[in-house]
Amino acid sequence: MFSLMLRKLIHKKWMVFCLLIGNILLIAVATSYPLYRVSSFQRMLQDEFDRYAETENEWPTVFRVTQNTLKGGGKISFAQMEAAAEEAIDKMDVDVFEKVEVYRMSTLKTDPAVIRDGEEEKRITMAAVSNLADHIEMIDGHLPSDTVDSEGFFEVMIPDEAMMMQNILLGDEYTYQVLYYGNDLPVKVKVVGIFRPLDKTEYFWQPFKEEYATQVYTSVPLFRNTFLGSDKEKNYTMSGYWSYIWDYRKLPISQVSSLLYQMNRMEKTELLDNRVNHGAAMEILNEYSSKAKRIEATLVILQVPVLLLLCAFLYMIAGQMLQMERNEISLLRSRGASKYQVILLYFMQSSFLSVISLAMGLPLGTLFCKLLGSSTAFLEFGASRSLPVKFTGDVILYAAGAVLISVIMTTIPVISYSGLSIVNLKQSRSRQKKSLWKRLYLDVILLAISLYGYYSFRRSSDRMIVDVLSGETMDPLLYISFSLFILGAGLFCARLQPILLKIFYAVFKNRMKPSTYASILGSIRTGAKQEFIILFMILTVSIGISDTMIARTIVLNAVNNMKHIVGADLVVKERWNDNRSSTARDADVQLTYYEPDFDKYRTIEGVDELTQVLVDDRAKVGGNGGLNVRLMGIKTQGFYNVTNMEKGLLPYTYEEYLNVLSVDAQAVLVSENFMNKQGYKLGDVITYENGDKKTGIGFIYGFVNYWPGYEPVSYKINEDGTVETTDNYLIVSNLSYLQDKWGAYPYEVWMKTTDGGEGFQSWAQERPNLALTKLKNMTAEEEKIVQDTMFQGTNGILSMSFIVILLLCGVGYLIYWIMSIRSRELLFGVLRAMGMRKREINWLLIVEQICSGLFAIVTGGFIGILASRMFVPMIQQAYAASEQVLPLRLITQTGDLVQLFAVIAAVLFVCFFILARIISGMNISSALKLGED
Amino acid sequence: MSETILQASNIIRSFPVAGADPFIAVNNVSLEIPKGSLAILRGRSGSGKTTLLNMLGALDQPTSGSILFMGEDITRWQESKREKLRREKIGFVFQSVSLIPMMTAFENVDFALRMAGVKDGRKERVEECLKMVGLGGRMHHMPQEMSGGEQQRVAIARAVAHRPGIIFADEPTAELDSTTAINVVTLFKEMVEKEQVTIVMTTHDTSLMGAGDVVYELEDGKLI
Repeated sequence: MFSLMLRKLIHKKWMVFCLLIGNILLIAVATSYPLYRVSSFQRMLQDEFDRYAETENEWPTVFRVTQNTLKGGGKISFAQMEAAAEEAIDKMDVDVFEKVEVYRMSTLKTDPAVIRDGEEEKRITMAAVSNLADHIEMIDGHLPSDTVDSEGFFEVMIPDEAMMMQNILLGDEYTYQVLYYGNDLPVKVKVVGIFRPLDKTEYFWQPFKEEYATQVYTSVPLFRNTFLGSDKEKNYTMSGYWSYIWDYRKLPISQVSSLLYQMNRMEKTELLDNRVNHGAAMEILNEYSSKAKRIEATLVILQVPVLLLLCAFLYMIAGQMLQMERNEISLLRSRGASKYQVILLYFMQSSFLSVISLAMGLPLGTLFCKLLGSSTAFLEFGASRSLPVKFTGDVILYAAGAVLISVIMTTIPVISYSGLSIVNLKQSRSRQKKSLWKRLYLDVILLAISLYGYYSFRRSSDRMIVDVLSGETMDPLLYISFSLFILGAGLFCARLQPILLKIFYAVFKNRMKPSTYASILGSIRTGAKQEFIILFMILTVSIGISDTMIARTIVLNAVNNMKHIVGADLVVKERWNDNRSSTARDADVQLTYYEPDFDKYRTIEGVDELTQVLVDDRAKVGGNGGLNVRLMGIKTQGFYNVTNMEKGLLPYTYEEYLNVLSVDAQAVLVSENFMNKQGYKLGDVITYENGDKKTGIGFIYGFVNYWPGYEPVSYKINEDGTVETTDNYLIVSNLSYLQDKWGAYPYEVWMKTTDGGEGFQSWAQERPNLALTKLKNMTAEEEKIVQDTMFQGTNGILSMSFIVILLLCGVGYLIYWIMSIRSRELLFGVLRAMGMRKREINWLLIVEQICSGLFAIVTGGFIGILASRMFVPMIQQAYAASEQVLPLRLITQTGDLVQLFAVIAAVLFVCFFILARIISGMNISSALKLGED
Repeated sequence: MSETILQASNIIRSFPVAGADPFIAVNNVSLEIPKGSLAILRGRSGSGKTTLLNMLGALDQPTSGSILFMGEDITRWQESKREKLRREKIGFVFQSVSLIPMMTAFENVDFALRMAGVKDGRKERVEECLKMVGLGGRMHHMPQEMSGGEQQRVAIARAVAHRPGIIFADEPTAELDSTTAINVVTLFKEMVEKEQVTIVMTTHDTSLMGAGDVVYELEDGKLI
């Protein structure tokens, strides 16, 4: 049976080639996503942790268990707690790179041996920290010993800072007033060493960095032996911390949920409740989880169409192949093969092909994953950070799933054929029935469902913003509606095509050339066969167009929006010194700011233009309890030079607004909500005060709803999950006026750069004393958006889908026409015998292509644009609703469409080329000889 | 019967064979077909009769020799001129499935008229031809809804519709049972009389030879 199968495969090499392509692509697509997910989510998790570490200057993943005992009480012993901590960290199963044990006696009064600076008693906190010796260098003295010395002293050491802070010196001796050990011996400490951390930035110091300089350090064994133990520890008020600093960089994302589960469970156990602290880890992990869930849901939905198309493709090719093998099947059946043997034969064939495809699909999947990870825009690849590819159990699972689906898709059609004997076969060759979907009006149904979805989503678009903000995923139904719309419209057009042809035929019946006539009539009569290929083409083009639009729109809107909010290429604010310390002492002294040198910015390489922009978010209108506003003081020309304002956002041109502002020193532009919500009119006087309560006035010369650096509304999610919207108010004034009135007042420097801020970076690095309180670099922000897993994943998956669909379409188109021409060689021979010229035969084929291919491309384009116009604004909300300031624009870059159609044209050209070769190789007499077999 | 419509002189057709001597399908054949006759080319399968017929019908060109169609040597003609000849002056009937499958019987016959550039009176002529072959009642059936004999009769109607001077029929009876085959040959004879057309048909069936006005027998590419 195996050899029979092999022979069959070799004989049908074209079909087998198609099946293989379909299978390989299916496996590659199915595996590329889990591959990508693992790597990109891992990166996302790392980024979240890194960002915390950078901004907070603190290692985010420190697990700490605390034990406090009170003198006389305490049910739980230190030993129990320590064991519980060990067990907990074991269960967490994370990579611990540093365990820090800290024991601390409560702060108690001591009598110094030598009274210095009139200090008769000193409060001392005795502590012991494990492995301290490995992280310090001794400046003076030596490490404390592990035993009480001969005179009964506990040796301790102190950090150099403590000498100043606690006024303790090397050799000092202190006797606790009420702290005893052993047989009522008083605890005495002696300072034997002064140390300094080897590297204060080490995470080792984090668990006790606050108390670091306020305590004295004895040895851990001494502390434990003296004070710990179930009978002893009841006598002391002290605490112990077991801190485990673990490495988040080695935390695989597959472990996140179990880790979170363990963390949550700990807080529910009696022993550990209120005694554990996870640092920032839990918050970051929770945030990551919900973000990952949201992104994953979106990305999975985005892949559904291409996976379905792949399945349909396999089903179609398998069906086509069976169609060709009907004779053989009926022969097998007539010779006594059972139905199951036939099914088994095809099952073997499918499995065989799937295994081969697996071998090629996995590497291709890896390649796809790399493409996904490097995508920067639709059909653009080449991100600066490449993604490491890791195989996980998931991938095997997905690959196995893909194989299973492909085997099912290619075996199912056999079942209906397997019962075929020669008798049935002859009977079945009657007039073609209408396709099932046509009889069921599937196209109309799908369109109706998708339109229902469209209108209900449009009605609830406000709620969608809220959902997205509160971390909900994009409603899968939205994207499904979108896909159904494309499918429904595609089917509808495929239904329309023969009708249009019939109309054309009826009108021009007697005016057509014979070749056109034969072609059109042929297209009408063989309609059902062409349906699938037409549908495929329509879907390719329409999905291609809408994918382009989705990808471009979401990313460019996010980028433009970010640019609008940031305001200029580079925005920095230096720390301004002031005389606040003296104004606090003396009410008569005026608050004065000392302006840092501005001219130094002019020397920076890559900075083209720069201007001062006063931005005061503490400004108010209407005194105390009044309205919080953002006050912006600008130099109109300079501001114009560094900012960009999209045309058409404001009722008048940007230049006009800046011009009116420059005409009158006291002119102000205010946000539109001043007019809508506060009732201000043009020409009104508005009085405002800055953060230091100094006032200014302005005449309203214009209302603006958009302004560089201004967000009209901001959203905040409350703890109960509700979304709060806040109106932001803006006053734009002349900086020169404000400076005349208030003197020097902190401003930001807005710059226009030509090098993406690189010149500034190196310039700033050379100035370690430059203290910046704000630094926004547009180029870096843009990079962040482009490489955001959500955007990149979307771009990547849409691009990949498109490439796959295009390949399928090319292969499907080619195979369809090769089959169609091969099966009509005899017909062409007859036509040639009847005197039809080769030219006319070619024309006949061209007309066929126009009726199918060109029709599909045109309608596909139309559907794609329509679907995008309808759905993309809603889909876009799932991506950037919270920060969307600018009105959403559907973005189509001509380049994208050119690229799209160029690729399609190339595929068609290759098809034509191959077909033309087949036709020119055909000769009449040999074609006619077919009839003699 | 005196006028010659087709005259072949010393025609040879050979096909190159990779790594061997060329295969000579038709070897030095000369024949004459009188106008308004039913000519029969008989030979076993592989005797070269289809190759010969293809050359006579301007579908294929001989390697050497000449074919005069109404006094003109068509072997010297350009392909386009021969196409025009086929469209207007020649009709073909093939062994099997020579109908255009996506056209009805009517449309198939009509298509031959369209090909020949006939503009007016097509409908009447198509109906006339289909009635002539006895299919007046099945004009709007698709080929696959007809029996082999019926299909062949449509093919004959199509071949004759544009009033060609000559009809070439390649084994038109090969796939038919003997009664139907005799009917087809009888139809040919009727047409020769009614339409003043010349018919050249090939067959391997010796029983049909008696029907021919002229009979040639072929063996291994040679006339015997």
